Amino acid sequence: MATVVSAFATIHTPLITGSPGAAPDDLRSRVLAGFDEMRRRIADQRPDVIVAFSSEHVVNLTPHHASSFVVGIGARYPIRPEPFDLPAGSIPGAADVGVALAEHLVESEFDITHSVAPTIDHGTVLPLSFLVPDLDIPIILVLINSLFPPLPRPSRCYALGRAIHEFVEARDSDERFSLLATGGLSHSVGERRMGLVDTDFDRHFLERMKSRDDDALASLSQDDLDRAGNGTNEVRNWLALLGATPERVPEVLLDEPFIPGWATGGYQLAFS
Amino acid sequence: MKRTVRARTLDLVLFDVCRGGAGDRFRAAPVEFSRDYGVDPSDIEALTAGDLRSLYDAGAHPMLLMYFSYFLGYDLPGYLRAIGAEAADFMGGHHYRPSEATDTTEQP
Repeated sequence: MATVVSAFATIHTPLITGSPGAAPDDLRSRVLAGFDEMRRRIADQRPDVIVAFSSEHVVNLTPHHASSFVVGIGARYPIRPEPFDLPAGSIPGAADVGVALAEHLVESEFDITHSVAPTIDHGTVLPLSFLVPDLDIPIILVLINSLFPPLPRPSRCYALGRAIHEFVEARDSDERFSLLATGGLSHSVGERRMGLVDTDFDRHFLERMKSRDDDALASLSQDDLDRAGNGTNEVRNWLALLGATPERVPEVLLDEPFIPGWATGGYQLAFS
Repeated sequence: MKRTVRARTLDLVLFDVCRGGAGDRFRAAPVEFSRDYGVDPSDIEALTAGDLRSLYDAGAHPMLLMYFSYFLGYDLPGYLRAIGAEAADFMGGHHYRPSEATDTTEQP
């Protein structure tokens, strides 16, 4: 049986690499220390595949075509060039496993879309560049629509994660999976309240992650997320991770309510 | 987060101009370009004038509108000022609770 050897959730604000000096030194150091701890664990665990629950910023999901879930099934993921001092080129994909996952999800009645070469942006590359500096572990991208409504319900994202857990458990192999969820808790992008975060929402969300109050988190409504800013829709990735890691209580690697300069809360969790 | 057809039409234009390779065609003939998409006449005026605040109020997707502002030559603080943001110096360190927010109106 394949196994999930680790799972992590982290912010992905591009200012971490794009404007590193904007944050206070001590807070920046804590964020980087969290990434370093994740990197160390992944190096020890040597997963064969990383399943990345991620968001993006109008790359594959556009007004022309936006689906709830996109599963990457290709052998390479091109990286969109962005001005954030991130790696260029492409990263490897676990194509065969990706196809099997896509098939499993369809059989599980998730009407996903799939893509041989979805382009990834800082939403995926930034965390990966810290966790796997050589970018040499193949990934499967699970892209969740956080941009163009109607967006998938939080409960559905949680259920998607559970289906991925079942996929791993049913897989007749010795493959070692690591899971990664990226994205903010509360934040706004392009809205009038850009730069503001909702510390109450973040605390509510994080405490329920820590206590594994899965039902409370999966029952969040779109209104709950809208009130905390449009970027808050990225918590869907965290909910998918929660669904994919039943009964694993997270360890908090980073809990900073606000990082001035990066205009975000700083949160990182590890599920061993 | 419900969005109108008018807003979604704007989104399509903004995407094609900023990310879809149609920037030159828009610059050459913005009115004709926008009409072909069926953009609301008042929004065509705002697009042509680069009136970001009106486009925001018309419901344009904030992320796409931000990209459109870059297309027009704005930087991020300039964009935030143009739409009437409350934290145009957003690197400065603000945070809030929902009850303190002044921009709670849902976009059309």
